[in-house]
Amino acid sequence: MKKELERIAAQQRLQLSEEEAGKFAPQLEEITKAFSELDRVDTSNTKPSFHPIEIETIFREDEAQTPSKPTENHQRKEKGYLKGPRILK
Amino acid sequence: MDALKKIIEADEKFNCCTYVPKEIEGSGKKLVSAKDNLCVKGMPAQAGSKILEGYVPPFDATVVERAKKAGYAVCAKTVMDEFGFGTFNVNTYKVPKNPHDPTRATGGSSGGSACLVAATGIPSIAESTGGSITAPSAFCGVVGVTPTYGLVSRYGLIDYANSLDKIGTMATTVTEAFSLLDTIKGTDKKDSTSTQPAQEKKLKNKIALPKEIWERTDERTRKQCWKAIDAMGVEAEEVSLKHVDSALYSYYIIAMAEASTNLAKYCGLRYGLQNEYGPEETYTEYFTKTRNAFGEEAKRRLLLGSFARTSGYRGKYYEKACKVRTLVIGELKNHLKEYDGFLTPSMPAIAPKFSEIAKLSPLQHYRMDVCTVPFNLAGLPHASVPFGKVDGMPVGVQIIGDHFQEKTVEKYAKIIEERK
Repeated sequence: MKKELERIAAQQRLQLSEEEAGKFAPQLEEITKAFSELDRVDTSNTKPSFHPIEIETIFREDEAQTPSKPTENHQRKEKGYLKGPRILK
Repeated sequence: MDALKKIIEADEKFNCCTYVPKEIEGSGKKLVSAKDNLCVKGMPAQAGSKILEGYVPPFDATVVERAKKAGYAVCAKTVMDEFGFGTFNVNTYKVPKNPHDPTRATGGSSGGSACLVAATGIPSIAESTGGSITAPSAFCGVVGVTPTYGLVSRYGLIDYANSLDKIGTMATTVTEAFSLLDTIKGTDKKDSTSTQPAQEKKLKNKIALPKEIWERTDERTRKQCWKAIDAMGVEAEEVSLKHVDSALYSYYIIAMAEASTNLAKYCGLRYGLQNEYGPEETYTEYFTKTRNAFGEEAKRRLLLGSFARTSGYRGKYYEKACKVRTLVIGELKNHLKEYDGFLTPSMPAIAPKFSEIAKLSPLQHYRMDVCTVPFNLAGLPHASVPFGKVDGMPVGVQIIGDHFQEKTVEKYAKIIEERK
């Protein structure tokens, strides 16, 4: 589980401290073991439900929408652009 | 006493608010509070998380817009478990105390809402993913209504799990809680999962008591809830829900998987917490540094959710959980052909003390949701109604109806309320 933990933490962009990793590893082991109880349920002829009720796909006209100030909460702006950290080293 | 003064006093005593405005907008308005994962224009919204520190929404959630149009003013934002991740409202930076006994938890994740309703009588717009309205309503002795999935628009809700989140209400009476639900419900083109209610079903005047849920309840709470059935005077029969434990695991896998994708957007750039960064610091390094602001339970759920849908495990966990969900819904709907609804204790026990909660493992925490999770997984409407006390703490009775049969839930909830 420790190796798996490192892999999924990296996927989630989480840098776990040694203390956190030591705590989470056995907990995740215990919880996923409990989740494996689902193996006992026969679902061989069952379709998955991704929603509790049937959801219809809704379409709208392909027209531009005016969002409500989407950049208002961004604190670093320069010359009308949003500023962020560099992408490459 | 002035309403704002009452709210501030309640907050000072019980830690139930994240934000209280300096004054109420407009005069003669009806007051309502909103859980902190709901966007209210101009009021900070953090959803119980440090990663959203400083975020002030420039818009109203659809439910808030509708409440404002109906003459309500938002008088407070209420504390909650981080992103809704919790049963006791202890997984956040400000932990509310139960107004009936401050050494005990309010329940979560809408703990602040229930606490403020109990302390001031002001209704609240709350939200449930797996039981977040029922649990705190039961522990704090107020009425909590969770509608059918899709009845209320989720636009403007800081989401936890899209296929499970439902915005509902809390109040001191059944009538007030359902009246507020009538105000906020309805389809919305901004939420493609919001839908039209189905027709009302004819009543059968018979309710089902799911044996496996009653068996997992503490004896004194169970006995108190039995008194409600006796007092109601309706026909009640025991039924078996063989998928109760599977429902719990299915729920947690789906909820965590969805949360782990929803929370991927928090990178500390466009809104919320925005850290400093050096000239050499890359986007990925900055992203990772900022996400350290997530609390322990949020990290645990991100890890588990990511694990459940990752290559190699997706079939075993996520897909399996979605198939089990089909079986759970089928089993519940099958019983609902014969009965108007289900009746259960709202929670397996009374509100625990903080010292007791500290001793629980994460898995023990999750298992406390056994009374609420099956019905939330199936998106069925339900209400928790206070019915007497055990050791001086409120006990809640939960009534669950078929999809879009809110009127039936209201009818039974009123009978429970009248006979308490």
